[in-house]
Amino acid sequence: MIGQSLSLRGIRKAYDATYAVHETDLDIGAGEFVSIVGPSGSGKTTLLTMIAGFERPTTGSVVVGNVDITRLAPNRRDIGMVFQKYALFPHMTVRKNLEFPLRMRKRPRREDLGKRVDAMLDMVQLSAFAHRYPHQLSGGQQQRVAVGRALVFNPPVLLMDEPLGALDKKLREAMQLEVKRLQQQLGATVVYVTHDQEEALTLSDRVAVMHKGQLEQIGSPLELYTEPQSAFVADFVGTINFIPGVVVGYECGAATIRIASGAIIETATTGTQPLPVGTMVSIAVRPQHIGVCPPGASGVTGTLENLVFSGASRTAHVRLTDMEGLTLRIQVPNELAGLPELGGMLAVALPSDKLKLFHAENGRRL
Amino acid sequence: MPRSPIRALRALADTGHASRYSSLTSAILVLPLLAILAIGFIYPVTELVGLSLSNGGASYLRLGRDPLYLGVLATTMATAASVAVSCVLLAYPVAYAMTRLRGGAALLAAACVFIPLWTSVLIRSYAWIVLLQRNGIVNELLRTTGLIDHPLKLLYTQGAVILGMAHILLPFAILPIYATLRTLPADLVRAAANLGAGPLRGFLLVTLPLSLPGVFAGSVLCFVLALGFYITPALLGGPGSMLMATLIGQQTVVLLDWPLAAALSTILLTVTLLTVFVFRKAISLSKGFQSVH
Ligand SMILES: Nc1ncnc2c1ncn2[C@@H]1O[C@H](COP(=O)(O)OP(=O)(O)OP(=O)(O)O)[C@@H](O)[C@H]1O
Ligand SMILES: [Mg+2]
Repeated sequence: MIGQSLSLRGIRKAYDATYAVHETDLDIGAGEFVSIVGPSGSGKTTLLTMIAGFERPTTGSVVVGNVDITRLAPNRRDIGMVFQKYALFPHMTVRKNLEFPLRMRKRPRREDLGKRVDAMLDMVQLSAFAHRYPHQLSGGQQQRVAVGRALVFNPPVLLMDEPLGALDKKLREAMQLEVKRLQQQLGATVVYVTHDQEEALTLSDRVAVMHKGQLEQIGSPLELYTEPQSAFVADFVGTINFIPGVVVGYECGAATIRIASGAIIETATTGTQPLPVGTMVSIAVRPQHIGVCPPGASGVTGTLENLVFSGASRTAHVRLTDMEGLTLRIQVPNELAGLPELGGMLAVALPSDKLKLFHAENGRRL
Repeated sequence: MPRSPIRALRALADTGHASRYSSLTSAILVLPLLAILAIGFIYPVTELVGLSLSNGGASYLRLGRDPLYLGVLATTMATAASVAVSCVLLAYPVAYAMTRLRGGAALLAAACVFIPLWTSVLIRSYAWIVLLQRNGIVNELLRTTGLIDHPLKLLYTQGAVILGMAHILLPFAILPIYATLRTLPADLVRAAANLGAGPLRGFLLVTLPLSLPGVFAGSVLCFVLALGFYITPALLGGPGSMLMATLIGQQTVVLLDWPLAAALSTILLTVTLLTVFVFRKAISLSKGFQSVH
């Protein structure tokens, strides 16, 4: 099977007066695995619904390969979909479920149809269950039927809406590998919706982060982690600390920020526009990039509140002095000695090349 | 620690959600219903069967010998079957449409289904007389449009009986079908479309088979209720189309042959119970339906 490229061009969806999806452009290459992540209600399902054709976009178009399918009925789109609750036909056996899309197409002849279904049953490891009804299967098995049914007619694009959401952690991890294996084996273009950022980061070539109906950023997992373009993305992918502050000086890509305690922090900015003095900002820094040292005369200081052992390292919770209770999570190596007792003072070092600056109101990267 | 067998049993029983109440509580809870059933159903039925056998089964012999009685039974079942089929055929599109309506339209549709249900059967039967009689609205309409020259005999026919009964029983078919269609996950229909089925095939292969339990329930309900209809056939039917209920009434009130009336009632009851039983079997045999939800 050869996957095809998928493009969403200026796509929008309004329900009543509000937008479930704001104007969105998304280009997905043939055979690419793209995850869509975002909190509940951010418009992920709505996006899939428009690609599958169950809902017509308010404006914009959906293009598969070179064909605009915006006005095509869902049954003519040839797009596979795995539903969140599987949507297996309860009155049909596993085999009949898998045969369904092939019968609708009359594409393979009768004898080939059997072979195709057998091959797919084999691929999703359900040959022994072909004659069972969906309610006689476990959750994981049902999920495999759903995947098999969506793949058996060789769709160039496969949509999956939180397909593993209903499974327990262990089974979920096993199924993630299986989904990835099937996708690589068949070369399908996959759009995969999930709540679970870890799942998205492990499975995908690229991850799209949605927030309030807006596509905040799309990029490789590494890109999202190292170069988040908004505070929301930075927060959503991995752990990060935010420190509010105000710009007091700007000089050629370097901003000087004053935080509530009065301490001054130097950061680099990404933009070419000068930052006006007085701009409210958020300084973001990952736990592993913060250093701790004995309290000095100046700089940012805080109280060690808690120290949590988490295997390869420890996480220190440090409540900053005069910062309205703001607490930083700092990753400290296990072998680091000289930490104060709980309740003791320490200084935190914020290396300026690791700090990222976001606009306090709109969350944009500065 | 030793465990008494009763404790063990209770622990076993506690795994099911049906055993949230102790057996005493459950007994007290079902007692009123049991009492009503015993007084209002089991006792009279026993009396009835006893009465029908009071003359040593002679009533049953008479019923078996006289083709008139069996004929009435056959007519009754045929009428009830026609009514059930008409009801389901008319009800399905209505129920289907109701699942698609939203807001005010849905409310209106529900009102149209329910309000007739609150109107007396007698009134609704008389309404049909007004419509169907020789100089009734239907005949007048047909005449003024020039479709007929002489008024048709519409009233006092088998057709009028079926029409009237189907009208009265329609909600009993609509509601169970609507209930099953409503609980059918919308994703199943979407999945069918996604897999390549057009609207018609999606309906025939997914929606229709999965709504069959509702269709079965509706048709059994209509059939069973139609078997015992009294007023409507008496008002709308002709002398040739006598039904069981009318016959029983006649035997009880006019001819005062109570053992025969009891025998007729017993046979009607048996047929009713048999129908319900057969349909239940048919539903449970259609595999996979249990797992719709
Ligand atoms: N049919 C509809 N009518 C009106 N509003 C809708 C409809 N479907 C979705 N919405 C709204 O659109 C927004 C996005 O919904 P959507 O289902 O796409 O979210 P989601 O990202 O898939 O969330 P979740 O992770 O909870 O599944 C929500 O605010 C929701 O209330
Ligand atoms: Mg969703």
